[in-house]
Amino acid sequence: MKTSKMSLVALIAAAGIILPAVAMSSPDQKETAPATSTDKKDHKDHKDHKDSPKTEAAAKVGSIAPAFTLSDTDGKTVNLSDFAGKIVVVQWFNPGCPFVKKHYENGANTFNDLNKKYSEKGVVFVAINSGAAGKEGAGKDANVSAKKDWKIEYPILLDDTGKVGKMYGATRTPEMFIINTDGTLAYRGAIDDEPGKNVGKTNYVAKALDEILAGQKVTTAQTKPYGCTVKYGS
Amino acid sequence: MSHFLLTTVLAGAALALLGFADEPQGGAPESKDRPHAKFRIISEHAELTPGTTETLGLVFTLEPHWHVYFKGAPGGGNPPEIEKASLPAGYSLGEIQWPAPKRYVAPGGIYDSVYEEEVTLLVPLSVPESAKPGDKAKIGLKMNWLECSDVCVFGNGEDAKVLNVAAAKPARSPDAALIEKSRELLPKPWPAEGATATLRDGVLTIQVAGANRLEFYPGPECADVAKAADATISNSETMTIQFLNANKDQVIADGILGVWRPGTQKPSYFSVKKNSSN
Repeated sequence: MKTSKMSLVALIAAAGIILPAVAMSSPDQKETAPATSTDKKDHKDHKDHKDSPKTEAAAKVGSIAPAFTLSDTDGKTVNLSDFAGKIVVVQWFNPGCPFVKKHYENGANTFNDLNKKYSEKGVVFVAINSGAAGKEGAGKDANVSAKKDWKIEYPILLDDTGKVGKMYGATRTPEMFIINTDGTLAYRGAIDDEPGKNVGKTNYVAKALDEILAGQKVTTAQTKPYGCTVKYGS
Repeated sequence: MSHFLLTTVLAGAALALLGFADEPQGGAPESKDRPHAKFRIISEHAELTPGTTETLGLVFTLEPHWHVYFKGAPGGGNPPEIEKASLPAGYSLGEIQWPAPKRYVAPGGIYDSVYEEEVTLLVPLSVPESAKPGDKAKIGLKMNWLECSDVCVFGNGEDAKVLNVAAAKPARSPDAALIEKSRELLPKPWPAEGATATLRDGVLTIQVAGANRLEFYPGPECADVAKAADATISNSETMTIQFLNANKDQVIADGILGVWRPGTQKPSYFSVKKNSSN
């Protein structure tokens, strides 16, 4: 009995050490692991990403915005064409990203305020999360929670393959796109002029929407987006 | 049961000793909100000299897999910034000098310029003529930054260093080597030997005769680089970079160019700045 107890203890001890070690080296973990700063292969040589679709500026200001069909957090299918003839604001979204959080927390309400102000003028807002499964802020549950916690009234569309994000060339969260009533892209870039911890003074999206609604040309049609990288899978 | 508990504790302790406890793999999710970069102030000399400029180092030591951002990283990135400086009367700090960063390409081909493991940002400290030998100068800095691995969190830290004002020329401090190492990574004025750079129709073309590798790290004023992950690296003596600006007459190309030459171990770094409206 003593021997069998010792064997059991040894077995548990071995399992306690071996199982986590196996888990740490599982292929799944490696595949879903991000490109990390110590992964020299990624940094010294970018060939790992050479064959993957690049997030270059596929959606160009002045050109027709790429069509998309995605499901929202309620499972409802949303097509860009559903909003034909309307101004559409698309926000790339990740509820885990501190640059997104800063616009919903600590008294800030940037996106909800924008939605409230401009939806009354016929503007449609949608958020798109292009994070792959297992990545920060990705998946239905995280986005359902964020929608509830942050009282977001516009749909959050799930793009876990990253296909739509790459079509638009979205690289950051939050990154903003405004599609005009004729389907052309009127603005792409940052939400505002403060790439740090605070909310900016100039909101580029509000400025562009005011100009579009007044029938004017968008004076700042493109800015450098800031924020977290979109958490693509590959 | 007690055997089981004991075994679990021992197994856990063994894992911790082996260093696995810090790995963000499996089990309970690691707290991402705790600091992942440590900040400290160093100085080039052990003491200060009145009427001179001392070089301070702002050292960031990062946990494995974490990085902080170069000023000018394409995504903004909230690079380290001095939130508050506490200096004795008459002392002042200059602009932070940024050593050349490293390339970072995230899934999706998203490019950034970052610092990994450890980086020393340099900042000049002006010591007033009125400083008297024997005085003690307390330099306090509060910093904030963004630190990222697969996730990002805002980080912050503060440190203070007390330095004596010397009567004679002071000795170098034990940390002087770190500052020297960082100084070697500061960009030199353009052009590099045998180099040309032209900016025409929104395209920057760089040629460095004899180079076998070029890397470009966009600076804070630089326009958005198209296909940045591919465009900012070349294994030849020529590099061509296109920018995304709709107005090709208002492009600013600004950044650090790393130049590798055959037979040399370390690259040389140069500041590049071109304005299409000039």
